[in-house]
Amino acid sequence: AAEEASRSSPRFRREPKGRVSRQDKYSVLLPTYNERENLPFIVWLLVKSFSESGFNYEIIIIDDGSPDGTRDVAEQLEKIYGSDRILLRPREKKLGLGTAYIHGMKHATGNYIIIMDADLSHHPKFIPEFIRKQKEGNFDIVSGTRYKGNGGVYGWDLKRKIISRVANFITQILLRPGASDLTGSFRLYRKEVLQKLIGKCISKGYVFQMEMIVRARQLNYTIGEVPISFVDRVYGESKLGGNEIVSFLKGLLTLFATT
Amino acid sequence: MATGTDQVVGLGLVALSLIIFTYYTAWVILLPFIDSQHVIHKYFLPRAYAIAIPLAAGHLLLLFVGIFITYVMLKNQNDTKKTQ
Repeated sequence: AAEEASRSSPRFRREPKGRVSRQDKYSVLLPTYNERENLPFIVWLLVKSFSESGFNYEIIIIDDGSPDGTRDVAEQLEKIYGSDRILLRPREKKLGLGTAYIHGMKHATGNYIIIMDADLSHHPKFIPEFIRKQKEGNFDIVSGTRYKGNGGVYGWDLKRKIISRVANFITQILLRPGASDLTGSFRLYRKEVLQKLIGKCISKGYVFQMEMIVRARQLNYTIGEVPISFVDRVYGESKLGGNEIVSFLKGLLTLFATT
Repeated sequence: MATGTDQVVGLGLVALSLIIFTYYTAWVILLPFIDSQHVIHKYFLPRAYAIAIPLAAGHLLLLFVGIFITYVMLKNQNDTKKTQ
C-alpha cells in the first residue's frame, strides 16, 4: 500500500491536505432483499479480496426487511468479522435502490463508495482493479463494464444477450454517455460525487444506473472503466419481460428529452 | 461467457450485415456508373426497389415495435384492474 501511495500522491486534487491514499477507505454498500444464502458468501469474498489487497474497507449491509431472515444472518456476520468491518443498517420495508444508497451513505465513513449486487452476480475480485483504475486516472467514477476487453456475461441465453446488446446500442446512439455499460451496477464512486448524483436522479430500476452515468457526464465528472464478468444470479430469478423492456424505453426517452 | 452456438449466431449476424452492406453499396453507388447493357445488371433488381425494400422493412419494424408496446401496456392495465 505504501508503494501505491507514493506513486499516486502528486495528482490528488480532492484529498484534504493533499495527503495520500493510505487513508483512503472504501465503503461497500450492499443492499439486500432475501439474500440469506448469498450474503455470507459475498461477505467472505469481499473480506478475502480486501485483506489480500490491503485496502482499508467497511461493508454496509442495507437490508430492506427481508422476510427470509437475511437480517439475522447479517447480525451473525457482524459478530464474526467485527462491527468495524460489517455495519448492519436495516430498514423496515422495501423502499428501493436509490434510497438504500442514500441510507447507506449516511453511515459510510469511507471517502470512496463501492456499490454492487449482493446476489453474487458481481465478484469482489474485481474491486482491487477498480481501485487501481481510479488511482491511475484519478477518476470520479469507475464503472464495471460487460462490453469491453475481457468483460462478459455468464448464464444468459441468446435472446437475452441480443436484447441487451440492442438496448445498449440504442442507448449509446441516443445519449452518447461516454461509458460502454450503463445498466451495470458494479461501480466505485467518490463519496461526494455519489451524494451529488443521487440527489439528481429520479428513475428506478435499470434506468436508475443509466441516469447516474448520464448525469455524471452532464456534471463533467470523469469516468473510468474496468472489464468485469457478470454472472446471472445463482439463486432466485432475474426477470426480463415485456414490462421491463417498455419501462426501459420510457426511461431512455425521458433521459433523452431531459439531458 | 460466449458459448459455441452464441458465437456462431453472432458471427452469422455480422457476416449477414456485411453482405447486405456490400450488396447495397454496389447496387446504389456503383451500378449507375456501369453501362446499362452489362451482364451485371441481371443480378440486381430495378433500382426503385433500392428505396422500396428498406422503406418497407423500416415500416415493418416500427409496426412491430408499436404492436409490442401497446400489447404490453394493455396487458399492464388489465393486470392492475384485476388486482384492484
